[in-house]
Amino acid sequence: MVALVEKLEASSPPSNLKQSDEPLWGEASPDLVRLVELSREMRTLGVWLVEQEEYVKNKPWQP
Amino acid sequence: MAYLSYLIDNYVTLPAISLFLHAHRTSWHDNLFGLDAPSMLRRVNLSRVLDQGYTNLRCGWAPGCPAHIHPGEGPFDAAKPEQIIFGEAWAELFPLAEVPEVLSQPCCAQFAVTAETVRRRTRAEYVFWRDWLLGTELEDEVSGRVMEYVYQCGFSFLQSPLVIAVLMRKGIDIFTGSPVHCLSEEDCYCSGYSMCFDQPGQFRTFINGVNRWNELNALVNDEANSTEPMWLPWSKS
Repeated sequence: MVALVEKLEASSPPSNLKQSDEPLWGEASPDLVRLVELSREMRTLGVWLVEQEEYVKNKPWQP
Repeated sequence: MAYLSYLIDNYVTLPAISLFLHAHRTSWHDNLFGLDAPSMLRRVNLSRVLDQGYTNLRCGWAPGCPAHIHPGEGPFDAAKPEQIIFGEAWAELFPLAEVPEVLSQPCCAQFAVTAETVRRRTRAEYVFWRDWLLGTELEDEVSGRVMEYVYQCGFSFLQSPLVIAVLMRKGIDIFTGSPVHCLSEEDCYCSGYSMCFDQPGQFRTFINGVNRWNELNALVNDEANSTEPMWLPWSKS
């Protein structure tokens, strides 16, 4: 499941689907599409959170 | 039970700092860094633990703060089933101290404590508390909750229960004996995990992101029928 979600996440999204990715998405259920969307948002937000930590920890005033 | 057994068995040879956590790697209890206990542990400010003696590892106030347990207050509350029996339990655990009006600290019974702080209590007292756990007729989930909200007291009180009782009767807040231990979430991240934000609103933006990530994780787990996060943002840092 995780591998499939990661594969779908890495492909073009259904809203802007490239022809080469059509087979991948062809049999995806609505639930799977939603799962991929949530996972993508989660990953994007996770990257932002880690960047925030790096940002505050690298400031010169940091105690 | 496991915490107390560790303290009893290792009382004389405790390391400078002991960290007490649940056995699972990920949990909503560890909601600081993507629910991941190792990511949290790598960031604990050990200097602060040495300075304070006792540190709750959780920063989030819900549940547990700011005024959580009102001993004996009814009616029965399923979200805190320990509240209604807390006065009686307290009297058994701390026979010489008055029952506090309120007890609060961030939930979940995960904390860091120094050997010096542990040894403010005698080994016999830890044995006494463990015997209470073994002998009480309360359900495990209720007696465990009682312990969850007395650790800050047990570790924080001064050495003698008699001194504590006198100080509490006089209304003296001895941090070191306060039944309320609710550091602001922002201060907790800063002093406890060295994540200090300088701009107004910056911390709130960050914590909103953390909370949203936790929500997304719950949704993803629900969709995927999983109990473990699909991936952890901080796991490699």
